[in-house]
Amino acid sequence: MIKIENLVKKFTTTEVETIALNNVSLEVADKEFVAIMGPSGCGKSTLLNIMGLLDNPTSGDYYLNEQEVGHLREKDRTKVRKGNIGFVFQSFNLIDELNVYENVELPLTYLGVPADERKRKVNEILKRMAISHRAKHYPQQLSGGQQQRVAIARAVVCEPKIILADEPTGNLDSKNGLEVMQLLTELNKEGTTIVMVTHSQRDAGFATRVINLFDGQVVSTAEGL
Amino acid sequence: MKTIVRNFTSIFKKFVTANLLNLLGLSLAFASFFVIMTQVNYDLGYNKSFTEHENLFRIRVNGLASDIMGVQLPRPMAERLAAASPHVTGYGLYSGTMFDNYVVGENEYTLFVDHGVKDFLSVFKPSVIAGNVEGLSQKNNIVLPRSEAMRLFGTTDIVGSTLKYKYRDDLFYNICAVVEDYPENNFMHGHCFMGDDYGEDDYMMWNCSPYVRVNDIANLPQAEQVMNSLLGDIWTEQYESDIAKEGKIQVALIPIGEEHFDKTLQATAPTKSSSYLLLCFSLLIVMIAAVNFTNFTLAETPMRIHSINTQKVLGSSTVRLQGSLLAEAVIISLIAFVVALAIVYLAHDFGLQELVTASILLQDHPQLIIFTLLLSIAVGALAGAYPAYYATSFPPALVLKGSYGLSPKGKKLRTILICLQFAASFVLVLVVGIMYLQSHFIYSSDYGYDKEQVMIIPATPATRELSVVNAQLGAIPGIEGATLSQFALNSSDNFQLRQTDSDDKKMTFTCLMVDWRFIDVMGIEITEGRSFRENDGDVYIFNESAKKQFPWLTIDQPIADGDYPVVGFCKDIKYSTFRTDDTQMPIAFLVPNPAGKEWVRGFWRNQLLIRIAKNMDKQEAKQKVLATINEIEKEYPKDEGDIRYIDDIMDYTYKQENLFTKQILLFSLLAILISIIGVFGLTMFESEYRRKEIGIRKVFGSSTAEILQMFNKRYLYILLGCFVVAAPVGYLLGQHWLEGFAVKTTISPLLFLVSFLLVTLITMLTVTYQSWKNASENPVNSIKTE
Repeated sequence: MIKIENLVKKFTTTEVETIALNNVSLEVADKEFVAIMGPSGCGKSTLLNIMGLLDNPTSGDYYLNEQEVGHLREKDRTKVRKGNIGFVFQSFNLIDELNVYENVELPLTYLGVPADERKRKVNEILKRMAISHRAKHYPQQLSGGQQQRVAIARAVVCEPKIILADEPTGNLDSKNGLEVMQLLTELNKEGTTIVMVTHSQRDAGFATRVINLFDGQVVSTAEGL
Repeated sequence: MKTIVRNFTSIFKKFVTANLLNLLGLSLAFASFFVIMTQVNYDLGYNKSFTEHENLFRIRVNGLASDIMGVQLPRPMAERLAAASPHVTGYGLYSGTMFDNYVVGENEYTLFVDHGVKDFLSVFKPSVIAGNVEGLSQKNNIVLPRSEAMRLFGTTDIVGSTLKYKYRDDLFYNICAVVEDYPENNFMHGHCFMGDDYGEDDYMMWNCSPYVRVNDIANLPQAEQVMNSLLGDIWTEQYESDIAKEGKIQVALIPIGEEHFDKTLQATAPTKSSSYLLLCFSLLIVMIAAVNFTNFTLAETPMRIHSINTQKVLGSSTVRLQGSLLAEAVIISLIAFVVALAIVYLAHDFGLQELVTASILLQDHPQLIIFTLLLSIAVGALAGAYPAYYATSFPPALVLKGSYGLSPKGKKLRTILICLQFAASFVLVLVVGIMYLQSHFIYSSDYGYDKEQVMIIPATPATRELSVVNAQLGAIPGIEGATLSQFALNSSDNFQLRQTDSDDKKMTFTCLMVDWRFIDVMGIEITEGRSFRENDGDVYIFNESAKKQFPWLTIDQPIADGDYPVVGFCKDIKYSTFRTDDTQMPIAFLVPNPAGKEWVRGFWRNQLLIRIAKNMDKQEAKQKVLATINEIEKEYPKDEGDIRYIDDIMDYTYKQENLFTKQILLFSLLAILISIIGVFGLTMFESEYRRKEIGIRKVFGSSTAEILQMFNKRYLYILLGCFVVAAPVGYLLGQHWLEGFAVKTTISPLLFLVSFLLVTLITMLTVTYQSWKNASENPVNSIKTE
């Protein structure tokens, strides 16, 4: 599903050039649950952003479903991303002005899903995430765990093939963190490919494979569960 | 305070463009306010610089055939009326202003001299610097204002000095007094004064404007009553008519402060409602800028709220913090005030002065400067008050925990304020639109004659010889003929009226004496009968409306017993201004017979009218005609300014309206600019606050266009709501403006559509431009900012 070859990402300022990813090559198979681990600044999130088509690599190739997508323009990246990739962030990234229902509905709106179908899908996913009783609440009125459940609901409402999660439990207590990991595992079992960046060995334990990064390079790969 | 200043400076630097634009908007508003107020003060304060002006009145006789007759009266009539009431404490008979050349030493000066009967100046109670104004009662005495005394002699100590009349070596004028200058909005501004003594018993010379001073305005009705009673006696005794006794003509005492707005005295006089409209506009512009200022301050608050509340946590009192924030707003407003004065000072030399009648020199308006200063302090305080309260109203712990950039309370207020701005902008655009529609209507209406093809020159002895004029002008290709008339069409609303004496065929109509070529030169269409012929004398051509109103009018028949015959009827023409609806009013053109009755033998050949071909270049025609006319008329040579087209006459006739339209247009554009500056700044802040949201939306599939659409949609709803509220207000104000015209344009619904689209388009472009950066940014950057 995901194939990355000799990926390089450099960040250049007027004074310094930083190599965030240095000739990274990896593959993620369909329905796999991969955890990416490594110390802070090793390039985990950069890799995830490129996988999620939020950023372009400096060089190298990125194939998504056998299509080269690493060097698409922003407009085309949006098209590929839309409905195919779901995101879960450490800081939830919910929109403060929108209530729970509206936050979850957002990706469906951009996909042009008709209102009736949107309503059905949103209600369904909120129920599944056990957050439907908070549908009219705003993000500030929810606990961290509830916010992350909303964020996951938003990520999966379009039924994407891939979910990219950037430290999804980083801002949660252990109980809520466990709940989130159980949700992701459940989704994976239902056939969703999951790539997760994490610092937590416990969370990585839920993955089927762990990729270790160090200084922008893949240093090891280990099978998980 | 120091921390506040530092915090503010850093925010200012972060959004330097937005903050500078805000400052510019506020400065432009204060500058506009200053300039508009010079005009308003000028108009509303006109003639009010006379000592105890509220007791000073002009005697006027209303109801005469021509209004202009009643404002000037024969000297004996004026003197008797003024002396009739015991409540009149003094009077002066003013004749008018003339300019002439005088010599002091080796130098020659042109002086504007107000003439009147004897000591006419005393009633105005001028402030005397030296000498005695009663000296005007003596022949060849003159009073100088301070400015002229200084210009001519370099001192005011000149009582007893003399001025020599330039054109006579034996005529000297003795300076009997020097008085303080009247300000520019006084009809005696910069004028010298001379007393005359003529027409003591002449009831036929209507050349005195009587001014009276009444002891108490409560006695005005009694004074008018006494004068009216006497007017009846005078009219019967002098003119053998009882119209005054029958109350058909009456004396009215007009306050001297109202003369400036009197269209009878001056066709181009402004209206009082224009002054009030200007006043409203100036306040509206300041309000728009104040709203901008409040909006900017509110928009910046969330970025400062953390620092402000940290200080609160560290022990600063809320009142102290509020005071600092308020002081900061007032200081910004004061900076804007200083910039505004600089703008007015610099713009003076770049055409701004042409836009207002009053001088806009700063030194001429010390009181207005102080008032604007106070206004700027008030604006600063008002604009800063709510943001100061808002920024300090949250519990510090809550603020330190999160962002308040999107607090619904602040957002709601900002929306309300921006609605006010848009509503004001729509009102201004609509009013300007209606004014331009009327102006276009005036200039483009069908006048019933070829106004584009006729030029007008004041006739002088040699140019009255039409056979010579036509022969010489005929040699110029494109010149189609010349004629003479009593008045220039469309220059006035007070043409000569004629009445027939016949009992059964009573008629009152406007009568314009013309040369026989007039109808053809003007291109007026004859609908029945014929045009004038070369040998015609004492014959009329009436318009269609006259035919309808007086059905007995028949070709080749006299209009009444002992009157002249009609030879034809013509289409109705527009002959007066648009302040009068003359479309249904009867008018006759009369070719006088030089040997005929006395009343038609007078000087009627005042205007030389020349017809040019349709395709002829107007400027070129002017040059060629000028050269030829100056060959014919050697004694009174003409210059280019003497040759005018009807449109030039209309420009003069509607000078005040056109000036007012220009003023409103400029200030409306400024108001819109200030509003757009507000939208520009707010969008900048908003897109910055919503940067993360934009990123999230893009991550979940939104395109750049959809983000821009989202920002624009919000403003579109606001604009729609504001337009619904503003449209009726703009319409009513526009209608109020049209009240000054008897013939009005229809207000096309298209104007409303265009106004909406104009403001909307400008706003959308501003919003799109401003949001583009964040909307097109890679979302990963904005999400990373968390």
